[in-house]
Amino acid sequence: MLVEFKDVVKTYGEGEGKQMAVDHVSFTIDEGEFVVILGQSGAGKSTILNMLGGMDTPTEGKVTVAGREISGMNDRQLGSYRAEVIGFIFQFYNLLPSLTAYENIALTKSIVKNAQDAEKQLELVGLSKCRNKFPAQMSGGEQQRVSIARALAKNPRILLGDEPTGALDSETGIIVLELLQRLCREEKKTVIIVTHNSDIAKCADKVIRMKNGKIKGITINEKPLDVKEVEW
Amino acid sequence: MRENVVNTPYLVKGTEFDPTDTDGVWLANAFAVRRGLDVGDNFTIEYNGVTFTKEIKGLVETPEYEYRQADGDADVYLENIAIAFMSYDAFPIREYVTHLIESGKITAKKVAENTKILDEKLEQLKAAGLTVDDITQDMLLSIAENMSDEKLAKIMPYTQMVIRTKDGGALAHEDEIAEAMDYDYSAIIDRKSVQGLVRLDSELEQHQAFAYVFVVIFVGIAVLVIATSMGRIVEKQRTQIGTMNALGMKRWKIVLHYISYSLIVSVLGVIVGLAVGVGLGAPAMMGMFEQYYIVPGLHSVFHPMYLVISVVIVAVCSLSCFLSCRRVLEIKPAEALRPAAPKQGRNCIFEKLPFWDKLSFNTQYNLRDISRAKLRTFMGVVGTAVGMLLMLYGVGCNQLVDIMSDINFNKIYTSKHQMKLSADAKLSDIDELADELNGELVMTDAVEIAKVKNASSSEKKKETLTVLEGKGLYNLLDVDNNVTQLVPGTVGLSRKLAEDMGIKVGDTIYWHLYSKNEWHEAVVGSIYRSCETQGIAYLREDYEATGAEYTPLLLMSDDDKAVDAVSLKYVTSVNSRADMIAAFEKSMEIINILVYVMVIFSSIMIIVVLYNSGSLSFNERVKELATLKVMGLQSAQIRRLLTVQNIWLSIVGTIIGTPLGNISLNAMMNSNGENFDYSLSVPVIDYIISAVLVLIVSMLVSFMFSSRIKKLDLVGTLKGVE
Repeated sequence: MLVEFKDVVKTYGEGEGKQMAVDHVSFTIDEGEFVVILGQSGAGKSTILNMLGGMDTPTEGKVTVAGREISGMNDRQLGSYRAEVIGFIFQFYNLLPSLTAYENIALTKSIVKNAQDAEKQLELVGLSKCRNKFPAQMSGGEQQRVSIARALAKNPRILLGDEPTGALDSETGIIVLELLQRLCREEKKTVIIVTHNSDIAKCADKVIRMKNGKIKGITINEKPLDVKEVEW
Repeated sequence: MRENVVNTPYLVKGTEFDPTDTDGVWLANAFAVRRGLDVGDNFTIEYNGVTFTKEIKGLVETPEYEYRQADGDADVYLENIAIAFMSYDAFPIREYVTHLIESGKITAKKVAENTKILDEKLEQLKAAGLTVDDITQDMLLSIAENMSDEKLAKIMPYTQMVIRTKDGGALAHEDEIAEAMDYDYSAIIDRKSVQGLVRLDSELEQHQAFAYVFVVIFVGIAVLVIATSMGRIVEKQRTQIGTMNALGMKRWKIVLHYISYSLIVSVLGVIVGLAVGVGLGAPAMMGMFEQYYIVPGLHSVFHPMYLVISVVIVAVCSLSCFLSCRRVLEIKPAEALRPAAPKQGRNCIFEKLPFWDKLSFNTQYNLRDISRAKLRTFMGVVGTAVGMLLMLYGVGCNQLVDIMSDINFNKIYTSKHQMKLSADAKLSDIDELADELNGELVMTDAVEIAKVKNASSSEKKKETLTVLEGKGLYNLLDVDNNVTQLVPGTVGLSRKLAEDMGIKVGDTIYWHLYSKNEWHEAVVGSIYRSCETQGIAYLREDYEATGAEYTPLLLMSDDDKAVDAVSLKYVTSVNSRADMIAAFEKSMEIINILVYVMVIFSSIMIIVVLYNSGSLSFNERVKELATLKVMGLQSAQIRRLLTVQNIWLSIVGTIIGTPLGNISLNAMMNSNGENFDYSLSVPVIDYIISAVLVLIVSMLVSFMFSSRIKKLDLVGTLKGVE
């Protein structure tokens, strides 16, 4: 077991304005799993991902990743955790606009000691030709692949994707998902994706369905489909 | 005073000066205030052995007596300088003349030579076959006794005649004046040559120049800061402006809304600024100036320029707001409703550097950011450059005072004691004392110097004569500020005067003492640097050889027995070197205040500008910074990233500010009036100290962002749609 959420609660605001974003959630994720957290807008799925990524802390409960409880970590410890364990893929890529594709990946050298070679990562996502392009000069799909390469360059154990295909057309979305599935199967990365697109769930090893901050159900896919096999 | 027409003392209290008054005195206000004297009090005066008491009828001030120093003092202490104005009719002339005759200070011969009051008597004597030499002291006393006060008053000499010309060129009328006075005068000087006034004028000019410089610097920076801030504030309202636009609100209404906001903010700011400036700042400055200048009724006023500056500030603020608002309104509402997309990345000029690829991520990132945000970079550099300039003023002034002290007390006045000698002391007594104390006598006097014989007054320079004995207790400096010697048989000329008159070593000059109309010729043997007075210098032997009267005023000595000399009648004061250094330091107190003010202003300037540009930079890049943080970059690393850029800008600002500071500070220190010639230059160490201080402040500003980086809301920041 790599990830464990134990009775996690996350509330925002106080008094009458208090909002329950995540309501007593518990689940586990094993190493190398491809997990999809599925739900509509406001279901609390992104909040779970943020807590797992060390960007937010739970109000109650425990989050344990690779044997370390991250719910009680301070700013510095969370920084190290994000650097060493997590690779984050955003819906809107969040590449640094002043850096080229190569530099966006190479900056991981400033974050972790054993960063992967940036050229190799570019090759892995099939974007060697975009090496010297700035984000504004690339398509959305290309930017997202650079973003994945950047996440991979840190050699993280877990890749977190918050609607990674949300801003892409379906064709480009498939390319990105294929890449993520390949990374999970071949590179043994644990991939956790948050999405409202139920089609993606068909490719996952585990699907956690959420509604109004609660887990509606957890499904194990005995035979997850290849991304290519899904009808989009 | 016989009249009160040309140079009228400024009345502070009491009645106007009356030239026909017979029983009153008008006293310098600065002295009266410090001594607790007021109009109506009695004031006793001792003048040349005659003591008399008069009623104080008025308290006055006059600029003619600026920069006086009491004999016993090492610095200007106004409580010891009484300036009394009286009518000739109020002066006890009968007692005075009687005293002078009795003490042998005036004889019948002297009276006959200088006045016409004995002419009638002399005629009678001549008839009896006698001459003026036959008039005894008793006879003279009885003659004086029988004379009217009016006639006696003619014995009282006039020392000055003040003339006012309507065309402003006093010296152009020299021939007529000379003729009217039978060529019986020692010197005509115009207003521009009165040393006190010249110094006052040049100091005021200097203050004015600096006032302008500071206004331009501070207002300029303030305008730059508010204009950019206001622009950014409006740009941050992009979504709101977009919404109002989308809802169909008229454009002019939106513009008006934001302009009224900037108007309210800037007008409030200006009102607070004016209240603090006029109410607190200006009076504080006045208080500082009052320590140095006697300006009766000095008070701060609302200068019309304040209004101009206020209007400019409000206008710039509103204009910047208007332009930003218009820019946002030009974006289609649908697009304006989303947050602004980050600026597009493109290759920057630094990428052409051959070693670009070898630069660290921090360096590349910051270089790109700098080339992307030119206005912000410009602001940061200008702010630190000005900060460096002010810091250098502060640190430099401090150091220059030390250098001046070193020049004065380790090079020029090297003796342990300095005795001031009474003007009427006998030379034989003084020489005896000098021998006993192994001292060096120094004479200083006012002279007129000319390049040619029979020069007109406009060609003559009114300067100072210094006569030394060359014993090394009072030294002259060469142009490099090293102690130098005069060449025997010649006259030394001060550097600034030599340059001014176009005279070099080997040339001949002509001079005479102010008090004597007797010209001397001399060959210039050396050029020396004189720090505070320009003029000529002689060795005593050579000076005495000219036949001019030798009247030393100072005796320098290392012998501690000098302390006892104060009991001698002809020694008016004894000051130790330590006293003089203390007095010098006291007179430089204002510089110390200035130093602190400059350092504080400099720091505020750097903090305001760098914090402002840092804050803009932070807001612009907040999403990038959040991304870096999510990727695992520690807060300290991000702070370092921002600090590096601040330090670069500070270094560039420091480099640009250094020559600006150097030129202006040296100009300021060396433009202290025509007579001032210290040749001061700021030592290298001061540049280093100033630069280090600037960098420390710059680093502190970076640390001010620490908590903002730490508390950066990663989820909220990265949630926005693009």
